[in-house]
Amino acid sequence: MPFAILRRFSIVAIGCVLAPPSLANEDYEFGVLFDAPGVETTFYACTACHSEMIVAQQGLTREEWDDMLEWMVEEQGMYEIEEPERSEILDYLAAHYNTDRPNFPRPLE
Amino acid sequence: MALDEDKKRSVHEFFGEDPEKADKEFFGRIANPDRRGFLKRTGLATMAAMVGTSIPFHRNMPIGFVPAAMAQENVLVGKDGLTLLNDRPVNAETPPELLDDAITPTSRHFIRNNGIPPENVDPEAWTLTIDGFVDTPMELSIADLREQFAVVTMALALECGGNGRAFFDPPAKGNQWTYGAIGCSEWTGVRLKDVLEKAGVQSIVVYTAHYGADSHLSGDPEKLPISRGMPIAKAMTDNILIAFEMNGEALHQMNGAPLRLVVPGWPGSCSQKWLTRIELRDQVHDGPKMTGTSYRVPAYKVAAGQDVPKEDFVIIERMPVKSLVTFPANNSDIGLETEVRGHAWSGDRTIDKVEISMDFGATWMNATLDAPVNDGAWQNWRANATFPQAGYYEIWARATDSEGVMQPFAIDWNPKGYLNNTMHRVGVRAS
Repeated sequence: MPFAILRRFSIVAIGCVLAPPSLANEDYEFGVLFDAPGVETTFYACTACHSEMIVAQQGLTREEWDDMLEWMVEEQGMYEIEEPERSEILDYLAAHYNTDRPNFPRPLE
Repeated sequence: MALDEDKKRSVHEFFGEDPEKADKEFFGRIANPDRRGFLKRTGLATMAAMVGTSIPFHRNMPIGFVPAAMAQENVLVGKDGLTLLNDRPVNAETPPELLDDAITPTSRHFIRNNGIPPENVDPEAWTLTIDGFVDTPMELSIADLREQFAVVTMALALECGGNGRAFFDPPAKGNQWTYGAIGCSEWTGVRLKDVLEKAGVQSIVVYTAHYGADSHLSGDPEKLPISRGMPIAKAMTDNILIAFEMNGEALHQMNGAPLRLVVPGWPGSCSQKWLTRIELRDQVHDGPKMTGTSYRVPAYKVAAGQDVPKEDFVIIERMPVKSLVTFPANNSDIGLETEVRGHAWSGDRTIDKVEISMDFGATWMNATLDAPVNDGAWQNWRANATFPQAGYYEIWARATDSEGVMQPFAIDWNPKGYLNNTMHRVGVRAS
């Protein structure tokens, strides 16, 4: 398992720039986040305070993502995200950044 | 897709000409709560204004892509080969094979930030306050520290509490560190113990509280990104430094310049960066990332994925026994005979033995193990490996510490993904 991970180290390194999900699309605006419905709302909500890179590293259930948003509001100074954006973000995160880690930047095998 | 060499040079030149301005503009930009508005406006003119000069290769530079590239080049200036996990806040780790040096060069020391580093880090103007339950509260400049206390240099191992988190299943929240949130550089500074003794530690003190000048990601000036501490008995040990130099030079900005704590063998978060204040408290510190489940593990063994009530978590103190193979590199081609080498460490303890296996753990041989260069340093080890025939092998390493505790094969899972000290495995093709 660790063997497989190390092979992927070389893709992200100093001096390089992060490759967006679609190499063919140079205008992609949402950093390392997976390109799917909900990505724009998610990207702007998250990157108001922190990089989307920390989002893309996580593998959480919908409930855990929900708790995470609550924690950010209660303890980290994030303003409440209104509906329907909140559900849109949770749907997006639960679909693409769940515990099976379909889009983990350095996938585990 | 990556910037070509000419474009990289142009960005470097920009930072070379006026790095302070570049920093300010970069950090000013990310502190802007209206990032959406900013990004929507971003065009060539905005970008040129932001960098303070024209962009000769702008035709090759995709709009919306440049700030990320600048951010990366900016945040990892002075670092070499680190894997960037997060660019705001900056978190970057070192691939194991780049940790091969006995003493970790500054360029290869990991970065773990919780907030946004301070902009003004003038060492001449910096002060450290010692207060709380002390007989004589003090405010000391870095020059005062140098003049009033013995200045010492020590090699000290620092490891992030979450090193190895990436291998947790189910996944644990946070930066997904693999192996490289560990380093052992030479730090120069004064002993925390000497400074606290001069201030006069009152008998009711039980814990330290550390404060730094970094700011919270939300931009709220009332919030601290992190403020941790340690039991006073630990604070009074000999190997904890208030450091102003790393490997003989001023501290690297991302490693806490101009002043930081270095608390070897305990989670890196105890080693407050951009250190401005140490308060002595009559209770366990309750600053950000001291409470809840931060830097805590269940008080008992749990199954992977188990729900653990918050009140059952305890504060992590020393880091567990661990080792790293730094040569050969994983996935490399080597001869039928090779040296194998790396480091081993165990918080507040020493390493008694490092063993390696080339046959998936069926048999083990002892490596030659050096004594630590000083208390708090990691220990270097090496062995000669001979492979019986060409093919794929894995080199496994396991350390045993002075209390007889050995690295486990499997992860001792905990909800927040701390303390993964499983054996390091390196795959090689021998021929």
